[in-house]
Amino acid sequence: MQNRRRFLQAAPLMSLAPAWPDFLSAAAMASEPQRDERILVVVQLSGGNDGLNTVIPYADENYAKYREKLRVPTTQIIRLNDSLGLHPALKAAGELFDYGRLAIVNGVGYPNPSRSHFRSMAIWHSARLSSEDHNGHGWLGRAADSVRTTPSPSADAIFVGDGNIPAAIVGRRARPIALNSEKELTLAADLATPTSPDSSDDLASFVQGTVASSYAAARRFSDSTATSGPGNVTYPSSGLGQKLNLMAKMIRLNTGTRIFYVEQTGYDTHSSQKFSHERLLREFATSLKAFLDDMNASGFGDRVTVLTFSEFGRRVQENASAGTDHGTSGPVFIAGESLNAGMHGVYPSLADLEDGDLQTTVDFRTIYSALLTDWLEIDSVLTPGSEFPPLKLYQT
Amino acid sequence: MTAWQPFKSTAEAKWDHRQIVHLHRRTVFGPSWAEVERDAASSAEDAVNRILTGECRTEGVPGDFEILANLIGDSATTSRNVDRLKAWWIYRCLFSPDPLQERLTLMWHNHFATSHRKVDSLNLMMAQNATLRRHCRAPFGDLLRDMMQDPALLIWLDAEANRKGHPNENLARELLELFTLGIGHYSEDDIKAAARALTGCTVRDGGFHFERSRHDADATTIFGQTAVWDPGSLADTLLKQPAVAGRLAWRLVQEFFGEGVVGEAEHNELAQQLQRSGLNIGAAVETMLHSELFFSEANIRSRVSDPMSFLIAPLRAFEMTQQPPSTLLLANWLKRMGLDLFYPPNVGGWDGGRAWLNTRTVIARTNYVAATVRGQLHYPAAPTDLKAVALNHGCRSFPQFIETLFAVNPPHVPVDDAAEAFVRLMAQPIAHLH
Repeated sequence: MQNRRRFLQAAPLMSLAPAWPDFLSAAAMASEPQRDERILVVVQLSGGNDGLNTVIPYADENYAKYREKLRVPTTQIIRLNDSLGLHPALKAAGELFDYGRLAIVNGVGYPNPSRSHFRSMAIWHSARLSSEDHNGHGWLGRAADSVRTTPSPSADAIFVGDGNIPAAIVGRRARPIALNSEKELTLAADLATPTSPDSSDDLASFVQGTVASSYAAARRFSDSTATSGPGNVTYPSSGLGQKLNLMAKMIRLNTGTRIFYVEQTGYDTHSSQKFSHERLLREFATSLKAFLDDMNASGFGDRVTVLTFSEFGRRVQENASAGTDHGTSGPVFIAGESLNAGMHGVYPSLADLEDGDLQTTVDFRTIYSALLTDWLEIDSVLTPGSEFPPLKLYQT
Repeated sequence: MTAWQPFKSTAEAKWDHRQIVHLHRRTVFGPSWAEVERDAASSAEDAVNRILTGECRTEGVPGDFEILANLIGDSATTSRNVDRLKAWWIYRCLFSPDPLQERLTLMWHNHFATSHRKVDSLNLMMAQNATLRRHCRAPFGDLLRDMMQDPALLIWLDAEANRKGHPNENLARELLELFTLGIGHYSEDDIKAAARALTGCTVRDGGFHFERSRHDADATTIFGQTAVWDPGSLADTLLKQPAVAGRLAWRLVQEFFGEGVVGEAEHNELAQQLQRSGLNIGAAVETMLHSELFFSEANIRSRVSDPMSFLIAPLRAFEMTQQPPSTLLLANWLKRMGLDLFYPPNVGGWDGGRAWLNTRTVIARTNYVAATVRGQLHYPAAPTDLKAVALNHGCRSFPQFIETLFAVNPPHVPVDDAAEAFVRLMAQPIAHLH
């Protein structure tokens, strides 16, 4: 506790003279961040998306059997090949697929699936199966840690949303920031940024760093006029559409941040699923397409990949309240300009269920491997002592 | 209890302004000058007892508080405006003679995190809030049994859909995982059987209803015990599991202690006390707040200040209770600081701790302080004369006043403009710890 006390007594923490954090000092500003690096956007579908009604095995007779109330009529399904198709609300995603801008990975999960939202999300965030390893740090946070230079010229990751920053982008040193609207980045007072404490106290350093990076972000945003877009893309007025619109502005700032994260909530459809699920999928697909079109028009198309996942799929058998309960594996979408578009992985058989749930045919960590090594080009060990060869999502 | 022996002030373990402000910030959102002076002239034991018994506030408490609060609450529920319900709760936190009750109610709102987003009824959210408050210090079983019949919680977790032959596991899973045992203390089969035990629980005409025809009366096995279950016998069995005391000890430590202060031995001892006392929450809180550990240097300034405390502390310090700011505006600021009352992010509640701080919430906190001292929380704008409040109490100087009440070093700025000096004070990183 000696360290904390020293921090507390280290006056003045803020002086009249503006004190810049290290990463905004003249020396740090002189070394410009890389302006052409690739960017990963993660869209998290929270609550457990019903994968079976997202990518639909329409040719399988068992589909209609298990989904008496919730089945999508075959005639309405957007056919992608002779056995699989998309829910009609995913029309915009179908267009991305047709033009080679979307890869769909089927049957994605992990061994011994957990049906707890929290446990399963923690596994996806950390890329580690054991709860003892769920320490609040995530796969992208660790990746950012491994390439972080001091002083760091930019936020390591940006979360657009009003919830908590997801563990996926939190690391030991990496500092993600969060925002939900432009006015939230405007400070009402002209404040000096606090100086660094002479402290190895973890909590004190955390607070110090968070306050400093928050003020720096506010200053940078208010100084910039570089955030306006090409103006020929219309985003849906929905929550996800507006968040991706704000995210596009942040990306156009081109500050060197390579990891962006956004969440769409509401997929925990235990009852009366039909219309709510349809609305969510439509919002997702139209927002995603607007965002990718915007990125193309802004000249960022080749630099952006979007990963979309959910913590689990849902039970194959619908429940009695026209909903679905927590299940296991599901499809993952990867969208962008520079990827091996099309179908990846084997769709789990509806004739060979495991305890009423879909089997897992692709481990999600092989997707993470591909995104880290082949897209972001960050060497990262997902789990100590085990290897996950990258799924062939990119030409290498 | 060796680990939780009571605090006694000595030459080393001081009882001074620093400890007093710590006590008030952790438990009752923040003190006024007069309250700090009063506690400094008494023993730590008496000061803690005043908080435990709801006698800690000397000013800003209306004589007819409960009547006023109920009027405001009733008009909020009839208004159909959820923001007015949030404002009502802030009113309670700001003016209640028993602010620890509000702190504990907030803790239970986080524990049984239910969102109006799905419940969509101000009456039911208000009724749940009253249940949480009524049992906030009670033996946990009283609270749990009422919550298992709480309409808002049942709607939130799809109880209506959980019927004989067609179980819906949502309520059963969260009951075991979040409300009582914690992950790792049950099996998937226990969840399935618990869901069947809960079939028939539903909401009718805004109240709890047990629909016997939907109840699954087959014998099933829960925690190795085969029986014909109903919600009552499930609750009885759950409350006998030793894991419940462990989870409650964790919840209480999360609420009242800093990072890494309570070790495994202390945690286990607290759990044992809970177990022995029939899960008596009030008694456990009493043990914690009286303890040497609570007042230890390691526990002071060792956690991120939660939004409600950050919101209320300056209002109490500058005695804005005489001409209170708009509680509707306060509710909006609280949301921007990350605490949207009645809208927890999910059934797991708010993570709290370090998760309270990110770019958006740090800027919101600073902007909130600026809006407060510039009078922007009032219609029409009415800045408070901060210096006058300090000098009224015979304080030597304004810096001494804020140093005492916020236990941080005053900023090196001219105090001619006390309001701007205070904004800078609260923008220091340390102002986010308590």
